[in-house]
Amino acid sequence: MIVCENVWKTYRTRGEEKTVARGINAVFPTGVSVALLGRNGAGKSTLMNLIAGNQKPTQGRIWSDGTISWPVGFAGSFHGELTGAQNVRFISRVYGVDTDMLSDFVEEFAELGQHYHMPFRTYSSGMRSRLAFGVSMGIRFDTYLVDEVTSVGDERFKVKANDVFQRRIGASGAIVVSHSMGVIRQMCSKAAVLENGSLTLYDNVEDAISHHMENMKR
Amino acid sequence: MSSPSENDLLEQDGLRARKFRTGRTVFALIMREMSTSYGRSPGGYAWAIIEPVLALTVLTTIFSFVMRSPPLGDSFPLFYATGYLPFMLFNDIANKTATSLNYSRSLLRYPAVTFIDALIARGFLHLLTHVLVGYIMFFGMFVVLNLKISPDYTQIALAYLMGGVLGFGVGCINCYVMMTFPVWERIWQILTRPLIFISGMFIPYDAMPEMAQDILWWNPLIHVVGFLRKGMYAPSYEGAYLSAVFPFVLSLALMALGILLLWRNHQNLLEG
Repeated sequence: MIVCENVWKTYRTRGEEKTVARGINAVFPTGVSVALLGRNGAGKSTLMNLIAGNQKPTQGRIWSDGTISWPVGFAGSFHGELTGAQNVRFISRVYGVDTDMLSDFVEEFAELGQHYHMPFRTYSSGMRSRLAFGVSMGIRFDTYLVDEVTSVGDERFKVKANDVFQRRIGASGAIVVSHSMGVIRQMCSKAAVLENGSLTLYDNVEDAISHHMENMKR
Repeated sequence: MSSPSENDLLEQDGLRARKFRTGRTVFALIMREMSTSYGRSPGGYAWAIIEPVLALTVLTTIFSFVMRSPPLGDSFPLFYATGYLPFMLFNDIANKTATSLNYSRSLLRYPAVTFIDALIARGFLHLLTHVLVGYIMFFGMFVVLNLKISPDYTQIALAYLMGGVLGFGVGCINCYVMMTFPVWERIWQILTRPLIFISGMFIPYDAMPEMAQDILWWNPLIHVVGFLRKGMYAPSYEGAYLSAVFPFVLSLALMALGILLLWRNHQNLLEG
């Protein structure tokens, strides 16, 4: 469960003040995948960062009784001089998971073969994203943060990745940002619309999508 | 479709994320820095120890010919090392801690890695490195030069702790100031260049004119160097002027102020 209590967030870009949250109160229940809808610049990514803990609210607080992932597929922290295996080991230490277990899982899942034990800088972009996706999927979080699902690999790999992804967020919960309504219908059972700094939660995804579509027309 | 073995792998209990713990993250950051900082050279992190040991050995040998009788004791190498090593300890920890948020910038994107973890990991790793360098240098000199000394290990440990904490405190405050005003990094380098001459390295505190003593007593490094010499030259070197309270209080004050400022501002600093 993730709870937002009277959350305000104001930040300044190029001297211009922007408020993306005006007293948001919301509860994201455990084990449910919630879509986050809103137009470009509405503050979806900021809200994700607030939930992840990367940014602090200007006012109010956000708390959670479970573990929350980093945005799925984030690869920015991988060090070029370290092998794939070493990079995975670093993350397992930080998140307190069994080092060998995660390493074995990613090695098999990402299908990097020999490259798994070679420096990350030698990887192709496809290999990089397979590794990043593998690490995100390897760890059991209570809530996964998904900012635009990017498909990785060839058709066969996509099917496998999607399968694992569905199992993970099926057993846990997720907060999903996507511009594809198809993805949202497929993955989420609840949805929220962020508009002008306030968040409206819907128990029915279709209601949220029609609200969102209304907003987009204006 | 995934194979059955993969499904079993997915459900393992060991893959469950745990709540964030500073100790675990600091350990991970230290391991990472050790395996990346000398990435492509064979021998890896051992160079962090070999490098200063070799440099110091060369310098000491050259200086030994120039300065035959040191102001303290009768071994020039020992005199030089007891001044140079604590200075390097301080300088290195201060600089590495000050740059730690930039160094770990990408890792701070993981919510599990906090800025405090990044500061502690760098400060601690470089303290550890210098303790090892010091151990090798002093023990090596003891054996090779056949020194007649009976060190007081408590004082030596105190000196290393003092130098480490001072470096960390200065590093914390500098980390904030350098990220807020990047030009401070240059100014700091220029301002601290004379530090090597006024920290009692070549001229011990006791040999300075009284006016210099009155001012330089407030240079905390004088005390770090002094305590190390008190320990190495025990029991002959007393160092009546030494204070442990002043450098520790100063370090803790700088550390508290630096962490407070970073705690309030690090997100803005890292975003910008």
